[in-house]
Amino acid sequence: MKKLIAAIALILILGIGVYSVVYMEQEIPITYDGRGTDVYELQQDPYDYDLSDPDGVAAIMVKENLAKTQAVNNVTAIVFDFRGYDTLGESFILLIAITGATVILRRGRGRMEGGKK
Amino acid sequence: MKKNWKRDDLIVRSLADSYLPIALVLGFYVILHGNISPGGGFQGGVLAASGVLLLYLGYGFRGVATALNMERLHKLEAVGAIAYVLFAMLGIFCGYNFCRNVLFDSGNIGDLWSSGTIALMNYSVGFKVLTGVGFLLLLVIYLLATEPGHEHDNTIPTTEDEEGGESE
Amino acid sequence: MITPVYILNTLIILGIVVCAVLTVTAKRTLSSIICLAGCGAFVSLEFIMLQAPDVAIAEAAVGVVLTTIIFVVALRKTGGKGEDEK
Repeated sequence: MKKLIAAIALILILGIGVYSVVYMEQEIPITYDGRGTDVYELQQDPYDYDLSDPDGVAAIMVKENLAKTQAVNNVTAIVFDFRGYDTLGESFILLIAITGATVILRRGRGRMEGGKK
Repeated sequence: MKKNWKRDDLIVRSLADSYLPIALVLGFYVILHGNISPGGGFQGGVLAASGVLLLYLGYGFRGVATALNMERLHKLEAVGAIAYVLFAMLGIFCGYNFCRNVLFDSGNIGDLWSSGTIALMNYSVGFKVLTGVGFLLLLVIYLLATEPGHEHDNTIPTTEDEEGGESE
Repeated sequence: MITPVYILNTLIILGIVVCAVLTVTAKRTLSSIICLAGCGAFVSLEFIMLQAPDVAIAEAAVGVVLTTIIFVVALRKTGGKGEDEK
């Protein structure tokens, strides 16, 4: 029974994957002007993205990046400047997770040594 | 005490000796060039922290415990977190809002020192992830070494008692 | 139109699927962990193909090295030799 359910789930996931691939072949990411882009053409020529008319915050992040931050790497500029609060929370999540792991593992080790003595 | 080290796995030790400088140089390169090339603090920190693992593969638990201090690593991680907050508070000190980039016009575009606090935050996050993930790996290695039946028994020094197994 | 990029991409995606299926159906837990590491390596290559080198570095460092080591340590601490129960 378990194997049947697992097989059905696997076939379902594979079917969804094939459907998504076929769907992506027809409508590949729509750029700002609403025109479809072919992924393989994009891999041959990465400058094929249409950056002519973004709007809202994307316009500031894409167009005025060099004027505002002078960082060549756009991803780092977004992570550390435009989204600084997110990076702050992420780094504190790492700190708290490691502290929790320390607490749990140390208590277990002390109990193990106490049991042996 | 040093006679207990495993001397027989020559191939693994040679590979660890060869790859440890490469891993460290790659990690610090990715951290330092975070603002002008792909990568950043997190990726470079994790790459450099894998040096702990290479050290363990080459020299066993005793070599790692001799080379690195666990408590100091955990304190340095907090230093990295505080450094990030201080670099973010530079905006408040200059009269703007939090996380404001106040030094962005220092240096030329494309240089190593450019883009102001982005580079500084990058270095602090890289330092923090390097020490944090290194501490996590050390904790896991300690946990593995305290198991009876492995290459060392419970006679290893714990971190509360001594510092890193320097007793010979 | 079949380009070398197309063939390489197809091979990488087939590698991802094969590693994922082997991860689920492996008898020993240690084999399952190693297949998961291979799946992470293929996913990292796919990120490179999709022009995202940042995510590729993070995936290669975290998904291949760190999780494998932590899983192996957890497996060894729980006492199993890596064989399936029963």
